Amino acid sequence: MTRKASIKKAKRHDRKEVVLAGVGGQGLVYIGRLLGEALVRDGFHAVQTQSYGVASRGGFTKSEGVFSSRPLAYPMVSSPDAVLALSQEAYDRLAASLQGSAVLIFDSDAVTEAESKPQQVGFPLTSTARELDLMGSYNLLALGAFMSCADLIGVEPMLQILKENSKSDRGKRNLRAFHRGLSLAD
Amino acid sequence: MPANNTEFLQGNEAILEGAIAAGARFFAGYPITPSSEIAERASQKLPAVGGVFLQMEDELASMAAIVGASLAGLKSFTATSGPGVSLMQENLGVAIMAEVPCVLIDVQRSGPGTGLATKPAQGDTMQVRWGSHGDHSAVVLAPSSVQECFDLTVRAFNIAEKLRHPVFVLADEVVGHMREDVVIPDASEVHTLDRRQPEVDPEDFRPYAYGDDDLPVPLPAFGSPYIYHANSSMHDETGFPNADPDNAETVIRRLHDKVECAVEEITDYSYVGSAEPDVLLIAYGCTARTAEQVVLDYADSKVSVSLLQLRSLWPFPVHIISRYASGTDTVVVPELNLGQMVREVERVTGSICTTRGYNKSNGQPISPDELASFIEEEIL
Amino acid sequence: MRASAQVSAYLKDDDLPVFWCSGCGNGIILNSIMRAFNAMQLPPNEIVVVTGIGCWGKADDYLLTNSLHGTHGRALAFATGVKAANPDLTVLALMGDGDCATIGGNHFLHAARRNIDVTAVVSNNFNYGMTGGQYSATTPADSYTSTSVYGNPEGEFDLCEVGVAARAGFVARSTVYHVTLLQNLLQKAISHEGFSMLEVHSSCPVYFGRYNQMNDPVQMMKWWESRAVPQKRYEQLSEDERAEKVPVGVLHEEPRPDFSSRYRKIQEVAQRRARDSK
Repeated sequence: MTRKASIKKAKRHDRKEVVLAGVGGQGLVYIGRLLGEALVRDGFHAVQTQSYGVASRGGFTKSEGVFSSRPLAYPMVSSPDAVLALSQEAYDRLAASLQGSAVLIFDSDAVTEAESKPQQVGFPLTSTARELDLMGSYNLLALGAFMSCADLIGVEPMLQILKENSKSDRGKRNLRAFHRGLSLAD
Repeated sequence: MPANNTEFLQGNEAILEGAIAAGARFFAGYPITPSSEIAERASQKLPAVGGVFLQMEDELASMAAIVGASLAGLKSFTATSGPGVSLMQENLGVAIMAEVPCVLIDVQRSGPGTGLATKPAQGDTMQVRWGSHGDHSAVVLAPSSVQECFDLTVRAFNIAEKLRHPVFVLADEVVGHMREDVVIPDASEVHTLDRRQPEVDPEDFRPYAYGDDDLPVPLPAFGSPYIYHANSSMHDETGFPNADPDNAETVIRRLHDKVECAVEEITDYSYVGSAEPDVLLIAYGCTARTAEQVVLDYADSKVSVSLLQLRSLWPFPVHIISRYASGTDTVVVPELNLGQMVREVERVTGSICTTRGYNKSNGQPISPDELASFIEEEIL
Repeated sequence: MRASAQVSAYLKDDDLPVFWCSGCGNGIILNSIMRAFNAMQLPPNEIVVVTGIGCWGKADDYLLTNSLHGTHGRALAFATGVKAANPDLTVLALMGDGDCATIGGNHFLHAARRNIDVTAVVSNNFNYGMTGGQYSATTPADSYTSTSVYGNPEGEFDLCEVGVAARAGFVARSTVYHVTLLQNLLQKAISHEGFSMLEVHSSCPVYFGRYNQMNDPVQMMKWWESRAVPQKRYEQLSEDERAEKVPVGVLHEEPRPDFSSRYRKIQEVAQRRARDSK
C-alpha cells in the first residue's frame, strides 16, 4: 500500500534513555532515583523504573531512566543512549544491542570486554572504592564516573542533592565517592 | 518545564499523597505486590495527620474494616492487587448495597492465580466492573502517569462521597512502581468534598432516602445524634429489612441509576492528535503511554494516528467513544490482556467503524514499536 | 407488644414478635443485651451493634441503636473498622458459631490478638440454624446435623479456649438458661477495655435439638442446666466428671492495653516526628 511507504517516524526530540545495570544489592535503584531527582530539579521531565522481584536480591538487576524537556509519553527505555554495567552479565546483556552513538560505561574490575569499542569505557570502580574504603558508596562512585563520561546532563543538581544529604556519615561518604567518580572520568 | 513544587515519586506514593490530600484518614489493607508501597507510606503518614493505619489479617477483613471506619466518619480506603480484589468482592457488595463511600486502589499484576506477581497487566478491567455478585454499577478511574495517580485518587474520594458508593482507582504495576515528576499542590488548592450532615431532625432521618437530586442523603457518622442501621441486606429507606418486590426494584434501580446517570460528570479523558485520524487508538493505564508515543512518532508522517485516553473506564463513556469514533475508519484498542475493554468499545463503535484489539499478556508492557508494527502490518 | 421499661430505649417493638422459632435462645440473649445497655446507661447513639449472617445475625432488626449488618463471618472485621475509627463508640459484634468459630475464625483470632476494644457476643447453638441445621466448628464430634446424618466426623472447637489462646483479655461463658449470669457477664464484657468475648450456649430445638433427641425446648433448657458448672467448681472436677460438664462464668481475665490506646501513642510519635522534620 502507498500509505505504508509514506510512513516516517518522527524524532523523539531531546528524549534520552539510560540503563543502570548490575547485580541486585549494588544500589542501582537508589542512584537511578537520585538521577531522576536531579533531572527534575534541573527542570526535566523524568521517569525511573526498575526490576522488581527476586532479581533485586542478587542476580541481574537494572534501573532505567528516561528524560526530556517535554512531557514523556512511553515511560520505559526502548534504545538506551547510555548504559552503566557493573557486572559481566549486565555487560553481556546490554553491550551487544547498543545502537549508534550510545555509550557504555563499565566496571573494568568486574567486566571483561567482548570487543573493545571507542564508545565503551571501563573504570576500575571496585578497586578504587576498596582503596578509598568507600565500598559502601560504590554506587555513588559509579554514578559519578557514569555522569561525567556520558555527559547527558550537568552534575550541579546532583551535587546539590548530595550536599543536602551529607549531614550523616553515610551522606558524607556518598558525596566523596561521587566526586571521586567524576574525577575518574576526567 | 515542571513547576517548583515538583516531586519525584512512585505512582503508589502519589496515590497515598492524593488520598491524604482528599481527606482520607483511615487505611486498612493486606500487603500484596505491586501495591505494598501504598500501605507502607500510609502507615508512616496517616498517624502523623491523626489518621489510622490498620494492617488486617486478609483482604476480606480490609474491605470490611474500611466500610466500618467510613460509617464511623473517616474517609477510608484500601490498596491491593487483582488477587486481593477477588477477596474483597463480597464486602465490596456491602459497600454498594449499604451505600458507604470508600476508595479501593487496584495496582494490577499479571494473572490468573498467583500469575507473575511482579509484572504488569490490565486483566482486572472487567473484575472491577463485574466482580461482585448481583446487579450493581461501578466507578473506575485509571491513571497513566504519576500525576494522574495523585489527581485521580483525589477525585475518587470526591465521587465516592457524592454518590455514597465505592470507587476504584485502577492502576497497574508500571504506573504504580515508576517514579516520575509530579506536582503535589498545596492542600488549600486541592478540591475536596467533605461529609455533609443531614438537614432533617434526627427522628426524621432516613439513611437510605434520596434527595431531589436523585442522590442518597448525607451520611452522618456513627456516634452523632443520627442513629441508623447500615444494611447489606435488602432494606427500605429506614435501613431496616424490607423484602417487598416493589421496594427491592426501587432500591436496585436507584443504586444503578445514581452511577449510570452520572456518566457525563464522571467521564474523564484526553485526546491527542488530529480530529479525523486514519487510526484512532483508545487506551488506558500504562498502555495509554505506549499509544501516546506512537501518536508522537507518527506526527510527521502522512499517516495520522490519534489517541483517546480514557481516565474513567466505568461508567462506560459511550458518548465520548461514539463522538471520536465517528471521525475515523479504524479504532484500535491496545490492552495488556487478551481483550476486555475492546469488546465494550466495539459495542459502541461496531456500527461506526472497524474495531480491532491489540493484545499482549506475557507480563511485559506493550512497546511503541510493537504497536506501530501492528498498525502498519494489520491496519494500513 | 409493649416493651418493659428496662429495654424500651433500645428495642424496636413495632417489629415484634421476633422472627426466631419458639424455643430459640436468641430472644433471651437479645433481652439480656438490652438490659445490660440499660443498666450501664449507654446512650443508643453511642452504641454500634455489628451483626453477621444467620439467625443471630438478625438481632439488629430489633434494636434502636446504630447497627451495621454485613456479611457472614466478617462482623469482627467490620467492627474493627468502626472502633478503630472512633474509639469513643461502644461496639458489639453479634455472631453465631458459624460466623465466629467457622467462616470467620481467622477474624476472631486476630481481633483477640490485636486487642481491639469490641465485645463479641457469640450465640453458640452448635449448628447452622438459618440454612437448615448443618454442622459448624462447634458441633460436637459424633452429633447429628443435616450434613452429618451418620454422626459428625470432625472434632469441635471450645471457643473460649480458642479465645484464651488468641490472647482475648476477657473470656466468659453462659447459657440461655442462666439469664442473671448472662446479663452480669455482658456488663463485665462491655466494660472490659480491650477485646472481650462472651460465648452463650443457646437452644436450637428445631434443628440441633431435633437431630439429637432434644426437640422440646424444655429438654434443651434442662440440658444447659445439667451441664453448666461455675468455673471454680469445674476446676475441682476429675477428668471423667468434666466430660459431661461445661464451665460458665468469667473464664479468663487479663488487662492489656487495647489497640486504640496503643495507636494513640503511635499518632503522638508520628506527629512529633512530622513537626521535628519541618
